[in-house]
Amino acid sequence: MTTRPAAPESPPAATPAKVPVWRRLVAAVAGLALVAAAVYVRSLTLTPDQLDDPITASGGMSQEVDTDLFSARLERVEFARSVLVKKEFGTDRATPGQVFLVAKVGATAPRRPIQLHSHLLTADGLRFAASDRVPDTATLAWRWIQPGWWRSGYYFFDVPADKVAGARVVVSKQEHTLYGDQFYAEAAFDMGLDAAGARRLVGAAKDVFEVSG
Amino acid sequence: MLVPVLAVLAAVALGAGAAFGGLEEAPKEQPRRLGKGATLDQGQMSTRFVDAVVRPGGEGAPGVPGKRYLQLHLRVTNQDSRTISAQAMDRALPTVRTDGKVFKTLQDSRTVGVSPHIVVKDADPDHYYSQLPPGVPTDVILSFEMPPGRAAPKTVQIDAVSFEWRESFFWRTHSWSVVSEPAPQPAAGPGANAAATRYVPVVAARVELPAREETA
Repeated sequence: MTTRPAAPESPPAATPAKVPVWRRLVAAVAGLALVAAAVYVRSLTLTPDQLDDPITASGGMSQEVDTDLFSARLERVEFARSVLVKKEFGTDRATPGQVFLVAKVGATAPRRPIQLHSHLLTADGLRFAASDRVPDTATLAWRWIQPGWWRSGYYFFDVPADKVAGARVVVSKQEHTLYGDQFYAEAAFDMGLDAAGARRLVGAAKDVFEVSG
Repeated sequence: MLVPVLAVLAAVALGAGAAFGGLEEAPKEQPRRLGKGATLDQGQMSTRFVDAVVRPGGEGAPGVPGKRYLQLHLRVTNQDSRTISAQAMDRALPTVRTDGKVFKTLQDSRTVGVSPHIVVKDADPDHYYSQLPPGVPTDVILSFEMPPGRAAPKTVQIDAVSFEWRESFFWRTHSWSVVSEPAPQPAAGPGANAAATRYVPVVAARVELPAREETA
């Protein structure tokens, strides 16, 4: 509300029109609300780092999550203090630095065969790659997911037991660093574990988890 | 009134300038000196320098039997938010010297000299790994093949750099990059290109480890 210099010959214009106090209050509150909303909307813009993030479809345990290139579900989560990989000739024992989180994931593809990788995203934002202590050949990452039927397999994560609560298993097609699509959608599964549930599940860890590969 | 005040001010300014080394360029900050067992925060990772030892390869040690390897034992805690490869230690420790002579160095991000074989070691003697999970202290071995006949060094000097979480000028995204400074300009002459500024990593700390030889 700017005051215009009043013309000298029209003194009545100098006195502002009587606006009731309640309307001024309403206008002030509405103005403040608009300013606050404008500031809030600015906070919703993505940072350049976030703009590169993949689109994530989320689900819970045993829930089917669909993306353009694949559908997946997290079928079971358990823990193990060692993994026995049975190969065609002989076996190989993998020992974790902390404890193995074994995620059983099933997947299918709508059109094209696809290979899926996985990582674990903890509640505090740490991203654990699938452990290299268990050979890839024993995991679902090695298998081809074909259209028309579901295929299940395991991913193994070597994580500290105190990072398990609130963590999510994320399944995605691995993009190539040099060429191709860099923005594949991913599927994230909340294991639904609180601190007590995580402790119970880690406490019930198997001594030996057997897998063929 | 004004003249004495100005004179005093000028004298104070001159005195302070002289006391802090005049108008010469300040001497460059020397890298920190660290010894065995010291821990260095390198930004992306925190590294403890545990040991340097020359050992034959094979039988629970990296390498093949019949050859000798200089092993640098580190305990690395990945301070990144994601799993990284232990190979990152090649860039984090660009130069390794044995008894003052360059053993391995990085030039324009290429390894010159003896390339290390970098492995993650755990209790299991039969397996080596390559991942550094975030926030988990991990034992890392840098294993350099010793040239045949070369005596084991008495000391090993390691140049360590630090990383900063830097914003890219163009994309405005962030990534870890080595803290660098412009290289000292070569003397002007034929072939010297004044416009091209090369950046070289700043050595954050120079670590000296006593080395010993173990046979079998």
